[in-house]
Amino acid sequence: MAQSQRSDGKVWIFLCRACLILILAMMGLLAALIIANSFHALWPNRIEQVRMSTGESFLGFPVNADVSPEGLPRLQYKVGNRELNSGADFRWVYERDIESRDYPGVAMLVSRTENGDFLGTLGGPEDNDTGSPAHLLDRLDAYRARWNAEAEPLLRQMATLGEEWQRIHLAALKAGYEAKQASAAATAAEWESKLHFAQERESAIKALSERLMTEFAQVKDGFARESVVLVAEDATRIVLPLSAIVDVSWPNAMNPLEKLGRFAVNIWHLLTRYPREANTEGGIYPALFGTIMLVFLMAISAFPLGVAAGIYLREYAKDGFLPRIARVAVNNLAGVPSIVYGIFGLGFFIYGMGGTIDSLLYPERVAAGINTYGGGGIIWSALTLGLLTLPVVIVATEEALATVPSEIRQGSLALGATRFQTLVRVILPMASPGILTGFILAMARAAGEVAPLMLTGAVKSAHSLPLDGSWPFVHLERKFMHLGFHIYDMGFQSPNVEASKPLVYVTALVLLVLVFVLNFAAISLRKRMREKYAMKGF
Amino acid sequence: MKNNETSSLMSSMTKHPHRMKRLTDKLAAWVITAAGITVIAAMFAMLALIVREAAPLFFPASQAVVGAIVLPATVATDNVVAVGVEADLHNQFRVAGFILKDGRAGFALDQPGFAGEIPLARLPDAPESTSIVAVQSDGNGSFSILWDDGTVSLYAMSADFPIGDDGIQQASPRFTRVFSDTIEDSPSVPPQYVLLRGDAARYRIVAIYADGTVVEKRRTPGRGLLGASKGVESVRSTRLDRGGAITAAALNDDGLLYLGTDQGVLVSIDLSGDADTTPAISITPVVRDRGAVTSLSFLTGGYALAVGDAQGTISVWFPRRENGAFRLRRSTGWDADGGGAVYDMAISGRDRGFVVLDESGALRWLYSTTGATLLSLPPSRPKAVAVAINERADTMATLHTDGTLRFHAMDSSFPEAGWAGFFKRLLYEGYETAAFVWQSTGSDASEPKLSLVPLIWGSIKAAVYALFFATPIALAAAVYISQFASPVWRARLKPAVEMLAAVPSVVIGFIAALWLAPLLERHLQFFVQHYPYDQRNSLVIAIAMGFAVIPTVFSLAEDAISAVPPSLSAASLALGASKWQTVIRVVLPTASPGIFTAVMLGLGRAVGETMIVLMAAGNTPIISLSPFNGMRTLSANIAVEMPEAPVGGTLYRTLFLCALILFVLTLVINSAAEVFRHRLRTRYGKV
Repeated sequence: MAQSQRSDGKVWIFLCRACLILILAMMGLLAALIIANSFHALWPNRIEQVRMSTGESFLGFPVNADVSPEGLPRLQYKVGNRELNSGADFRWVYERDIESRDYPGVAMLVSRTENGDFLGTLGGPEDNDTGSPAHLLDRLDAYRARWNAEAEPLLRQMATLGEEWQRIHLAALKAGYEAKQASAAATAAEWESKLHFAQERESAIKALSERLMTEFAQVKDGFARESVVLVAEDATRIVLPLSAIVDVSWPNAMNPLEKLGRFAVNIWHLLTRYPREANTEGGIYPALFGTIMLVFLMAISAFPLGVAAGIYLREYAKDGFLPRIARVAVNNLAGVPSIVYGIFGLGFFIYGMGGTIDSLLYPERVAAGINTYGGGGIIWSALTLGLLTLPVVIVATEEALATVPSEIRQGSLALGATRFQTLVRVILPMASPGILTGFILAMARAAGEVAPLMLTGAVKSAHSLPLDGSWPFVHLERKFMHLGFHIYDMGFQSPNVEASKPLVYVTALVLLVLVFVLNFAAISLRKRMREKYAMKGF
Repeated sequence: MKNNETSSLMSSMTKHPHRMKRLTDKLAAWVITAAGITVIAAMFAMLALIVREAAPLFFPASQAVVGAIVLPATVATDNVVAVGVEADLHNQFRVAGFILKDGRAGFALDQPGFAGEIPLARLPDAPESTSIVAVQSDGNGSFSILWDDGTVSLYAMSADFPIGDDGIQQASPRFTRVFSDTIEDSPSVPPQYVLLRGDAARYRIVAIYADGTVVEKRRTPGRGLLGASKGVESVRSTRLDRGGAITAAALNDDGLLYLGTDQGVLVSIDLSGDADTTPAISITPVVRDRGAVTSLSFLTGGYALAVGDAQGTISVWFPRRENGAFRLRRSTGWDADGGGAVYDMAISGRDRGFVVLDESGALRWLYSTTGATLLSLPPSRPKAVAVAINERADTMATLHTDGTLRFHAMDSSFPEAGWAGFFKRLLYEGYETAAFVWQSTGSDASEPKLSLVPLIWGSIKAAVYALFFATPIALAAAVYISQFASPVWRARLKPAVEMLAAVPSVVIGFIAALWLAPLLERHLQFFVQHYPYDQRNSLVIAIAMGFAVIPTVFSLAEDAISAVPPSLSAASLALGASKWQTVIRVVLPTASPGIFTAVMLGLGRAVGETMIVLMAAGNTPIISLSPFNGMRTLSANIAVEMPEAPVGGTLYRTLFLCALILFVLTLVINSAAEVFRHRLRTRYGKV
C-alpha cells in the first residue's frame, strides 16, 4: 500500500523541528545581544574621526545603524562632550553625508565625574608643559598619589565624623523624647543630662568637621589648580581640572595586548566602582553587593524554615486534614505572582512589623518622622523573597524526602534510633541532593525577581551599603541597590536612556552570569551528592 | 539545685542515654512542628492580610449622632440663616457656627459636659447697624451675605484646634470676612440672590434681581502707572427674559452662573469671558414635568452641578462647551423618596459627595461619580431644617426646629470604590461617554477614576496574546523532542530549553523594550502610518512574554507527551500508521490533559508576570483589541502605583484588591490545572 506523502507528515515534522530551533535561536539571540553589547561597552573601541561633506568633522563612537523613515541609511554616533553639545551626547548622521572616516592616534577618551565622556585631543605645548600623553599620565599618577596622601585621609575622617554625628544625633533625639516622656523627676533629669551631653558632643563634632572642611577646602583648592587643557574636534578648548578625570585613554594608539589589558581594567572598574551621574556612568558595585547580600539573607531566612516545614509535612504530620490543606496551600502559593508577595511584604512586614518595631524601639524617631524599620529595608526584602521561595523549598524537600525508601527508615528505627536520629543521620543525608538542589534553584529564581523588591526596599541609589565599617556593621534596615532593579531604573527612569544603554546591557550580563552560576552550582552539587550519598545497591 | 543533685542528674543521663535521646527527639519534634506550623500559618496570613486591607472598600458608609447642643432660647431657629461646621483631624472635637439674621454669629462646641453660654457677637467687619437680607451658602463653609445697606460680603468659617500649654486641646473657631463691596446703581429693590467668589485681590460678585436682571461686578488685580498694584473693576448687567421666575442660583470660580427657575429649567450664563462682551445665555430643561428647581450647588471641583427640585428628585449635570455655548448633560440622578422638595444641600470638599436635606427632614448622602446613595437617614423628630458638613466630610451638623444642633460623625468608607466604582461603566467629568477608566492620580480637585475593568482586560489580553505566541511553538518543540529526536539530542536539548526558565524576566523585559520594540516599529512602517501605533505594544508583549512562558509550557507538555505509554504508539505503528499519524491521532490525544495542564500553568504564569509588562507595554490602561496598542495589567499597576499611594487610603486598598484579584485568578487557574493533573494520573493508572 502506497503511503501518500501527506500522511507521513514530513512537512509537519519539519515545522516542529523548526519550532524547536526557533526557541534555541531566540535564546541564542538573547545571549548574543547581551554579550555583544556588553563587549562593545567594555572593550576599548576605536574613536572615529568623521569628516562630513559640509566640512564639519567630529569624533565619535559608532553605536547604531539603521534606515531613516525616508529610506536613507544613517549612523548614530556617541560624541560625548555633553556640555558642548547642549546636553546631547549622541547624534545621527546620514551615510551619504559622510566624506571620510579616520582613526587618528591622538584621539583621546576621558571619562569624567561630570558631563560624561570627553572626546578630543590633548592641548599642545602652548597650553600645557608638553603635549605628550605620557606626561599627562605621569601627572595623573602623581596627582592621585598626592591626593591619596593629603586629601583621602581628610575625607575618611570627615566620613567617620559624619557617621558619629548621625549616631549622636539619634541619641540626642532619643534623650529629648525620653526626657519629655519621663514620669519621675529623677529619670527626667537623667535624660536631660544625657541630652546635654549629646548636644555638646554634636557641637564639638560640628566644630571639628567645620575645621576639617576648611582644611579640605584649602587642600582641594591647591589640587584644583592642577588642570589640563583639552581640545575638542571643533577647536573648542576646555580646561579640565585633574580632579574631574576618572580615566584617560588613547584607544586608537593601543596594540591588541594593551586593549586586552584595558578591557580587563574596564571589567574590574565595572564591578568595583560606584555609579556616577544618575546611574548613567560608572560601575555597579553597590548593586552587585546588594544583590549578593540579599540572596544570602534570603537563604538564611528561607532555608531553615522551608526544610523544617517540608520535614514536618513529610515525616511528622503524614496524614490528616491539616497537612493536606497545607500541601494544597503550598502548591498554590508556588504559583502566586511575585508582586502579590511584594504587596504583602509592604503591608505586613514594613507597615505592620516595621511600624511596630519602630514604635516600640524608636518612638523618638517616629515622632520626628524618621523611619527605621517602618520603611523599606534589605531585611524586609529578604524576608519577602524568602516567603516567595518557601513553597519551592518545601516542595523540593518533600519530594527529596519521598525518594528515600521506607525500608531504610524502618531499618533505622528497628535498630533503636529515635525519629530525630533517623532523620539527621539517615534520611537527610540521602535526601540532601534534592533538598539542596531545590534550594539553590529557588535562590536562583529569587535572585532574578525584581517586582517585590520595588515595593520593599530596592532603591535607585543608596549612599551606603547594608554592610560596612560603621557599628553595628550590619545594617538590616538600610535600603539597598539591586542588579535587577538597576536594570529597570537605568533603562526606564533614567534622564538619559541612550547613555545608560551600555550599562544596562552589562548589568544584565552580570545578573545572568550570577543566575547561571547558581544554577550550575545546583546541578553540579546534585551530581556530586548523588554520587556520595546514593544507594550503592541494596 | 544542690551540687549532689546536679551530679546525680548528669550521671543518670550518662547512665541512661536513651533518656537524653528521647529528650532531644521530643525537642526536635517540637521545633520542627513549630516551624512547619509557622510557615503554613504565614501563608494563610498572607491571604488574610490582603483580604483585610481590601475588604473595607466594600463596607457601607456609616454615620452616628455624637452630640447635641441646645441653642439658647434667645436664638430662635428661624433667626438662623446659615450654619457651618468644623472638626479637628482626628474628629474628636467638633464646632458648629451659625449666623443670625441680625448679623450676629455664635459657635457651639461639641464637648462633653458643655453646658455653658454661647456668646453671640457681631460678625467681624460687618457694616454698622445692619441686618442680613439674604445669604447664599456654597455648601462648604463660605457665605455670601447681602446686608440691608447694600453691602455684600463673603465670609468663611474656619477653626483651629491648638493644644494649650496645659496639654488640653481647645477649639478656636472664627468667621473671617474674605472681602466686601457694594453694588452701585442698583434698582430700588434689593437683589434676590447675591453670590460672591474669590478673594480680596480678585473677586466676582453676581447680584440677581427678581425681575431677571443679573449684575456682575468683577475686580481683577492690575498695575497702576507707578507699578503699584491697583484693582480693576468692571460691571456689566444682563437681563433674563425667559425661563420663569428664578428660584435658585449657583456660581463657580470660573464664572459660570446657573439659575434655576420655577418652570424647571436651568439658565446658564457664561460670565467667564472678557468684561466687555455679552455673556452667552442658554437654557436647558432639567426637571420632569416642569416642577420648580429648589436647590442648586456646584460639587467640589466646580464642574458638576447638583440640582434638586420640588418633587425631591436630585440630578447631577455636566456642562459641555458646544459652539461657544454651554450645554448641559445629565450624568446621574436619584429619584424622589417621598420626602418632598429638596430643601438644602451641603457639599463635601474632599470628593464628589454631597448631602441633601428635603422638606420632611430626611437626609441623603449621595456620591455623584457612581450614582450611589451612601446613606439614607429618615426624618428625625423634630425635623432638621439646615445641614452643614465640613471639608473633610467626616462631620455633619443639623439644625432642628426645636433649636438643637446635632453633630454627626460620618464615615464615607471609600465612596469612589465599591462595585459601581470598580466595575460599572461610568460617565466621568469631562468625558464624552460613559467608559471604564483608570486614572488614579491627578490634582486634588480631579475626580478619581478607579475602574478595574481596563486592568483586568490588560492582564487577560497580555496573557492570551502571550499564549497565542508561546503555545504552538512550545507544543511543536515538545512533540519534536519527545517523539522525533534521538535520545542523545533529547538529553541535551531538553535541559537547554529548560534553562530558559532561569532567565530573569527583567532581562527579557528590557531587551523587549529597548531592542525589540524599536525593531518592530522600523519594520512595521505600514501599520505605523495607517493605524494608531504605540512603540511598546501588545505585539511586543506577545513575543516577550510568550518567550518567557515557553519553558513552562514546553517542559510540562514534553513530560505529558513522553508519559504516554510506548505500547500505544507501538501498537499504532504496528497497524501501519506513520510516525506522524501516530503522534497526531494516538499520542497527542492521550496526552491532551497534560498538555492542557501545561497551557493552563503557562497562562497562570503569564497573568502574574510583572516586569516584562512594566517595561514593554506602555502602561496605558486602555481597552482595545488592537495588537498595536499598549496595556496596563493588574500586576504592573500595583508596581507603578504603590510607591505613591498614601497608606490606608482608597488607592492603597484598591491596590490590595488588585493583588487579591491576581491571587484568586492564579489560584483558580492553578487549581484547575491540578485537577487535570490528577485526572491524568488516574487515567494512566488504568492503562
